[in-house]
Parts: sequence; C-alpha cells; structure tokens
Amino acid sequence: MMKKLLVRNKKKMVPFIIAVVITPVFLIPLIMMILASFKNQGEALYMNLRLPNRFEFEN
Amino acid sequence: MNKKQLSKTYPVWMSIPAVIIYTIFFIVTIITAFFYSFTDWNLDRLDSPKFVGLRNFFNLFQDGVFGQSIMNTFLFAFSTTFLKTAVGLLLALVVVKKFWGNSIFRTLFYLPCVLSCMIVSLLFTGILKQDGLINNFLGAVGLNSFARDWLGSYSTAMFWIIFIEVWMWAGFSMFLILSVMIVVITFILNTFLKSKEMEA
Repeated sequence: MMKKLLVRNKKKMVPFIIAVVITPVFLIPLIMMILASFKNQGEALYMNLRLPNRFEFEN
Repeated sequence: MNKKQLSKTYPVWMSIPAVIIYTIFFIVTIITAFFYSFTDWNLDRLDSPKFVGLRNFFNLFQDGVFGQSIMNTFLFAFSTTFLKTAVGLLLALVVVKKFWGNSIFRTLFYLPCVLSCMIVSLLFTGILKQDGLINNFLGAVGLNSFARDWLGSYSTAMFWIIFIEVWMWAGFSMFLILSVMIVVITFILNTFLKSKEMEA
C-alpha cells in the first residue's frame, strides 16, 4: 500500500519538477519587466533584477 | 427572402467586413507593391515613377546580401516553427497532468504571448547586452571568458532571436495542443464509460 502511494506520488512529482525547472526561463524576464515598470528612466535602462531605488508608481 | 435563405446567406454577410479589410490592407498593397517593383519609384520620386522593366530584379539577384537574407529567413522560419511546436508539446505534456499549481504554470507559460513585441525586444536587448543579465550571471559564476555581446555577432544573434521567438510563442502552441489533448482524453474516457455501461 505504502509502496503504491510512493510510486503514485513519484509519478505526480515528475511533471511538477519539470515545470519548476522550466519556470525560471519564463519567470525571470517577466520579473525584470515588472521591476523595470516601477523604475525611473535612468534605472530602467539597466535591465536587471535589482529592486528600484524608489518605486515610481506614477509610471 | 425567407428564413432558410437568410440563414444560408448570413455567414456571407458577416464575413464582408473582414473581406473588405483584408482586400484593402493585403491584396491591394501586394498588387501595388508588385506594380511598383517594375518602376524606379522611391522617396524622391513619389509622384512620378518611371517604368524600368526587370532592372530592379536583376539588381536584387546580383546582390550577395539578398541570398544571405533569404537563407536567414528560411532558417528562422523553419527552426522557430519546429521548436515552437516541440516546446509547446513538451509544456502541454507537463501541464496536462494534475499536480499542485498546474494552473499557475499554465498561466506562466502562456504569459509571454500577451506581451507586445516591442516590450519583449526591449527586455531581451537588456538581458543580452554587454553589461546585461546573462553576462553578469556568467561573471558571477567565474565564466567571464564566455561573456560577449550576444546580439553583436551572427551566430549568437541568430540563436537568441530564435530563442526569443520560441520563448514568446511556445505558450500559444502549448494551449492549442493542450486543448486537443483534453478533448481527446475526454472523448476516450466517455467512450470507455459508455462501453462499460453497455457491457453492464
């Protein structure tokens, strides 16, 4: 019974692990874009994962 | 006109706006461009194009850059079509299974499709430039020697342009394949259940 449960969980884990591995490729550019939207013009030129010095909500 | 006739012609009437827009912006422009390709029409001669026969075509085929650009277009078109479908299929196979957060992953993989091309190009220009994210990462892990201007040379630029196109549109292929998978799975399940019922 326990063995069956483990196998079933393993089967469910494989797609989850693959999805988690692929995620950064999609997520990092999107985070950069969202962060850049809160930066001022000078900061936004340097596309990076740093938080903006001041969140420019008026953007 | 009776009701039956009206229902038959209804789709034709509905397609008229699309046909008009398509004719104006595609068919007319293609015919106009084809006509102007036999003239010396340019920005200086907007009003008085002169007929030059096939001269423009001779010039085109004598230009070495033209062959290279055709090759690049074919390389880009074939590789992106294949990779978009392959990556889309992989993503669909992953998210079709039920696991924790699979709808979050579906949304995430589809998100690049809704971004405009301008935003994506700005984003990846920032990532791939000399002091961009990729080179900073390579520097951080001690691989400074691999850092370069990724969009500055032909081989790397082509690879990254293909990558960006696949990154942007793989989610769309994923959804198309996913919807077909779900329909097929539902159909098979229904058929199986019906056959079981019949047996019972």
